[in-house]
Amino acid sequence: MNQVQIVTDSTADLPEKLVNDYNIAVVPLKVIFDGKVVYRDGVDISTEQFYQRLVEKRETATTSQPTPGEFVSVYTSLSAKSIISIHLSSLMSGTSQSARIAREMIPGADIEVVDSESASMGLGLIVLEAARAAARGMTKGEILKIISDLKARLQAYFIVDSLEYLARGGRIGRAKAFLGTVLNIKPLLYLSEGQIQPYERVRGKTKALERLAQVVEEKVAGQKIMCSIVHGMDPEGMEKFCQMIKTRLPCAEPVISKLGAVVGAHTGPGVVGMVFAPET
Amino acid sequence: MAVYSFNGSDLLMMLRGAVNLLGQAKNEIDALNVFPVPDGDTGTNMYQTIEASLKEALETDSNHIGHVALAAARGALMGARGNSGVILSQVLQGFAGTLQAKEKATASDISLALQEGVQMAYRAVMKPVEGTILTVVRKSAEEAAALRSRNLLRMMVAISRSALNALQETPDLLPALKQAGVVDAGGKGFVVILEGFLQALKSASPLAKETVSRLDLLDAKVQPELTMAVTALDFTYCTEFLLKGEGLPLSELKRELIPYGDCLMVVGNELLAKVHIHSNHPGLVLECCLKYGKLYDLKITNMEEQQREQQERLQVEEQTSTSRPFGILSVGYGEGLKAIMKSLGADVVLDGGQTLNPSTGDLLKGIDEVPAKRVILLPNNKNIILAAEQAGRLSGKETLVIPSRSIPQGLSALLALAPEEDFETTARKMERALTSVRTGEITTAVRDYTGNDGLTVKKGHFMGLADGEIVAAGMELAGVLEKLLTYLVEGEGRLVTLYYGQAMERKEVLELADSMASVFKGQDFDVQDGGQPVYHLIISVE
Repeated sequence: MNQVQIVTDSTADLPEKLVNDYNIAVVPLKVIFDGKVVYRDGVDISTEQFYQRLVEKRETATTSQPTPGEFVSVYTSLSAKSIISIHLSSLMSGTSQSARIAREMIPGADIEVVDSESASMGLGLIVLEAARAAARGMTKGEILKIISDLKARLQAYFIVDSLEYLARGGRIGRAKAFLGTVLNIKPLLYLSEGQIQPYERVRGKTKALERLAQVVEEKVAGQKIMCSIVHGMDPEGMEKFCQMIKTRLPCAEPVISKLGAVVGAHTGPGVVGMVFAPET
Repeated sequence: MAVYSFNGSDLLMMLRGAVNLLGQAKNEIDALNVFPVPDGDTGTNMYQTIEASLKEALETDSNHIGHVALAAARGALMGARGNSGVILSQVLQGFAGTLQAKEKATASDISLALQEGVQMAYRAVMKPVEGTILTVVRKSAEEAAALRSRNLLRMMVAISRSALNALQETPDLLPALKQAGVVDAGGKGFVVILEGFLQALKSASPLAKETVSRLDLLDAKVQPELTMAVTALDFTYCTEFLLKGEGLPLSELKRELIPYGDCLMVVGNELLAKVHIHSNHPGLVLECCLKYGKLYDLKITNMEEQQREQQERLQVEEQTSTSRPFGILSVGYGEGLKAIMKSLGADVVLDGGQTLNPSTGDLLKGIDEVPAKRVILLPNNKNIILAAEQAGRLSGKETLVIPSRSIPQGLSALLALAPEEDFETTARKMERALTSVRTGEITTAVRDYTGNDGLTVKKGHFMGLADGEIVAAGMELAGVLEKLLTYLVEGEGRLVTLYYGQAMERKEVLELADSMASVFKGQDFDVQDGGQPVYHLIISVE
């Protein structure tokens, strides 16, 4: 029994095997189609099903954070002495806020809520490192230190098919400067300060993937890294990208992950991205 | 007849002569194009440059040759269009700089001024090429320096002759000219200007009829905007009109009008005169002229009003310009292409391209319209780069010219624009982007042509240009496109964009793109409505 239990939410996009291996508690966010039918992210709806409805049926999806009550029931069901609850960037979602409210509702509980200032496998890698530390029997303080160090080293770059979905959901951050172009442009974006930031505009999918690989290679600059490759239902694009970086990046075992429904609802289809952090 | 010095009026007269002759010769010069593309414009560009020069010179109302020359140089600087126009403006610049303190100029003064003009022109061009207008101007100056005669008339004849000789030798210096069987267009323009000077000097009556009718044309569009300083005006009303009568005493009329204001100009002949004056009593001016004849085309403008409007506009610009770190001025043609440029972040897109080069003045106005204090310029045509650089130097704003030589290069540069990066970083990125794209163009030939590699182009056939060189020709568009693409597409994973012009239907271009995609496997194809004239397709490969 670990001293510290790690909790996260469904936007961490962690593959099921890792969730089970490291005993991570995942609180689902919600996807709502046409304002009526509510699905728990990753529980009631798979990434594949979600993208099919979004793209092929052109249904509109909105999302919602877990309620404080849902957090309370997860927290109270856990038996560890301390809990570290790590979540989607507070600039993109109210998930951390629900978690904080829940903490206040359980007097005497030792719960630390952490804003990852990231999303998807950016959040996922932080959670994974924290869970590994917990499994090694580290204290809450030591794990929090690992988390804050990793947050500072973490970088995430990705491309999307268009900015249409990000703009619609209001999660576009400063990338709105890339909006409104009539050319068929693939925006290259990155996460920083908890928000989506514009990096570059590239034309054509193949060129965008190649540019993504170049930029990541530049940023990695030969350092040994931990990394993850994420795609929002674009297996073909991801395969191409993996081929491009295979020989170029010193990443031992990249975690391959599928972008979940909640983040996918905001990015739209065609997401290929890479999250990485230099090893210490 | 011998002439030992030129004064301001002599120079004005010569400029008029040059404008008249170049006006007649400009179409012929336009046709002197190395490639048989239907868009030669050197003659028109040079004509508009020298016309702008004359316009400004006419405003001086001085007999001081230095003052007239400076005004002429200023006018050319603002009105310069195209490469040859800019080079011409530099010649005038050097010429005027040497003469500025002279009331009259002797043969040796003119010779020195011409040499300085040559220096300025060579300095303005990054890589001077012999066999162009530069050579023709240089040979004329060398001839002037070698002459011993102090008779200016004889000197002008000799200069003119040596310029013509130099022009005829241009095909020996530039193989491209020889191949096309033409002389250099800019050089020809300069020869015509010298001939115009000579014609004016020889003509007994400096104000021949055609000159007067031309003056009417010129004067209607004088733009005080660029030179108007924001100071208190001594005279409020700009008053101008035509006076028709019999035996109009021009110099008497002039003397009579002097007390009424400044910027007085009375030009014309005894039947028709153009009067222009800034005065506080336009009524009295009109009354005075009514004694001599009838008034036509009256125009009285309140300049205070104009100035106030201009100041308000400047203030608005001031406010908006502080909020943005920098802005972008681009040049393009075709509604589709212009819209794409705007969508990529160009603040102002000026009309211009092969068939119409914007003048330095147009570019300067464009820079002013960009709501930022620092401006990046994208000329998007090799013949506009010099004018853009000139406009950049003249502008009060901080500017950087990205030497984009084609529309695809300009679009690539715009694509590199990233928000929240500073002026220099952005400019560096944009400049780097120029090398990431290759440019193809398809148009129809205006005459038969044989290239040095034996490639023959028939008049009316399609021809494909890869980065400005003809590489494919034929009756069928698809064949020409395929051949052209073999020159442009290297490696894999390229994006080929076909920007189609006015002459094409979207459907046929989509079909073309499909068939090319099956030939060039592993490349992405995209089709965009460019809406450009003349060019059926503009192609970018990136």
